[in-house]
Amino acid sequence: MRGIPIELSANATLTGAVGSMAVADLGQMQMNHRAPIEVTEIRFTLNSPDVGIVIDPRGIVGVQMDMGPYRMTAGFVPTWMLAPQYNYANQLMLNNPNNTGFVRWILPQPMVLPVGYILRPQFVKLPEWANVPTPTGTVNITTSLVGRALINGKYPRKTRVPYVSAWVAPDNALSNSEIDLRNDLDTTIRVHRMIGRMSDTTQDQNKGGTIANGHTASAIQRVLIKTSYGYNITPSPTLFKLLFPSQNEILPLEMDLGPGEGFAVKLDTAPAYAARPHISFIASREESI
Amino acid sequence: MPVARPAILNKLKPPEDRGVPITLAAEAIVAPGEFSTLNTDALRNNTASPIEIREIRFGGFLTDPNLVLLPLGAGFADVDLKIDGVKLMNNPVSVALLDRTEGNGWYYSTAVGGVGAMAISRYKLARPIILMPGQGIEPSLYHRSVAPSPLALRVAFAGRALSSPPPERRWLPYIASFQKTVTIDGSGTAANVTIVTSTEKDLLNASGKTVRVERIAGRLYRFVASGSNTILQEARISADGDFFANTKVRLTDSRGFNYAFDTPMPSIFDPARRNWECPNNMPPNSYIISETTIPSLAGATSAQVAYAIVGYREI
Repeated sequence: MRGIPIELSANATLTGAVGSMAVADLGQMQMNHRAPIEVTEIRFTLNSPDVGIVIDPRGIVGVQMDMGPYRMTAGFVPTWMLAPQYNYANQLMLNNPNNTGFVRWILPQPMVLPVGYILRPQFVKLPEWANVPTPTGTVNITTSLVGRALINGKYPRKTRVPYVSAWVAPDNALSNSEIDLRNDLDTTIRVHRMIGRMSDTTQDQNKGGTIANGHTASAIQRVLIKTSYGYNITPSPTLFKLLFPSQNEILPLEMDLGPGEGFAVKLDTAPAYAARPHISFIASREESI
Repeated sequence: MPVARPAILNKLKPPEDRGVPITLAAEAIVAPGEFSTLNTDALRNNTASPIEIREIRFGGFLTDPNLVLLPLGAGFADVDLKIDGVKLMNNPVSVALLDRTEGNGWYYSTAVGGVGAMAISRYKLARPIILMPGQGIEPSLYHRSVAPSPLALRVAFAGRALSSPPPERRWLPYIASFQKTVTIDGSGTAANVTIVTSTEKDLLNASGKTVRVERIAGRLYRFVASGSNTILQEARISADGDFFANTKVRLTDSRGFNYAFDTPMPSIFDPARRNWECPNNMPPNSYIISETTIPSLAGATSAQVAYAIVGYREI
């Protein structure tokens, strides 16, 4: 029970079309007392009130995060690929105009943010936003750091920093490329789990437009996963929904990936907008602070 | 001569092996807006053994079977508990704030077969209460008028009659809460917000001991029409996305630390569990001030905010 509990929040607003970016107001994520912070969770609340149709903003808004000089994501990752969705129905309101979604990312291990270090989230409208009839619609995003302020000023000299990489399968792609789901760092990372989800971005405007809810899935998609050094995570093609069960969408791993190593994913059904696999891995590594 | 089993071995056994399960329960019919003190004899340890209580359950049962749904999310009752005159709560607290249930947040059934709707709230204690022989728990229950019908309010304390001496260190729960109903703007204009602030007397550690806080519970309710009645209903992302997400919270403690500053309510009080798990120590006479900014909601008239600090202290 060292320190005091704390939740620091910052807002960002995305406007503009596909590819537009926004950075959270970093001044709001500073302690009023200069003390290191031990971050245990990062939470996002996303709300798209003026797009005129039903959308799930979490699947079509990407986030890139840095902690001080250290990268936490491999480029932009859809916000919903950071964490499993345990209570799906309670964390979403897919209802025009109240398109509100919530993401709770419990970090693999608490991360210490020393005084002077900033956790910097940057958001982008992902390509799926092109399916939304009003692509310049607003997305209001709140980022919250949850943890405790170490008011005695003492903190360890090393901390584990998360690292997340995600792959959203493009149309007709049967496998990922060498730059997806890869350890781009020059240090070994510990992969704790993979998260798998199927999205549905149907373009039928008669149904209310673009929907990306993650739970309308093809029942037949099977997947083979192995590491770049040839170790089979799945020895034979496995149903996607068996590998990533709907209850938590997690495949626990606890394995190391060296610099440049990654995962190769092979699908046996070409993805389309109605059933698109999203796969990410959540890892961490030790860094000096 | 048989050798007595060393008591220390009993302490090392899992709870389910340490004694006989026992439940103390009592019930009262309470009209809307009224208080009732339950039968303390039914909630007294009349055995020769200490009782270790690990869970307290509250049940509300509508006596009118024509009212379909009892919205437990709104907390059908406020409760105030004492043990031999020692208060466990700073002020009466809604049973919904004690529950940590995921999902819909309540167990309930609608009216069926002439039997009224029911709901159950469950408070799992972080540290058990030890009731020595002869000691009793005195609950007072207040019908929060969430439904316009008398409620059969039931309290049950579940635990074990210990077969060995109780532990030397004992704990009692401590809960401090703040609940306030306010009129909010119903025009839907974004700039017309309502600010609700607690005082130093609400979320206060008045126990005289350091309280180990397990969590802070938070709820936002609004009054809605249900047929010809007006009922209290909990705001959730799945029902009130914008309204809930745009309600901002500040929590500042008596030492001047900001626990949260203009943070959206669902970010602090996880929509699934409606609690912020934040273990920390609260010194005697320290307090937390909450300031809630409630946005305008088209067609709405009133809203209610509720917070509780839930923890325990050593006695």
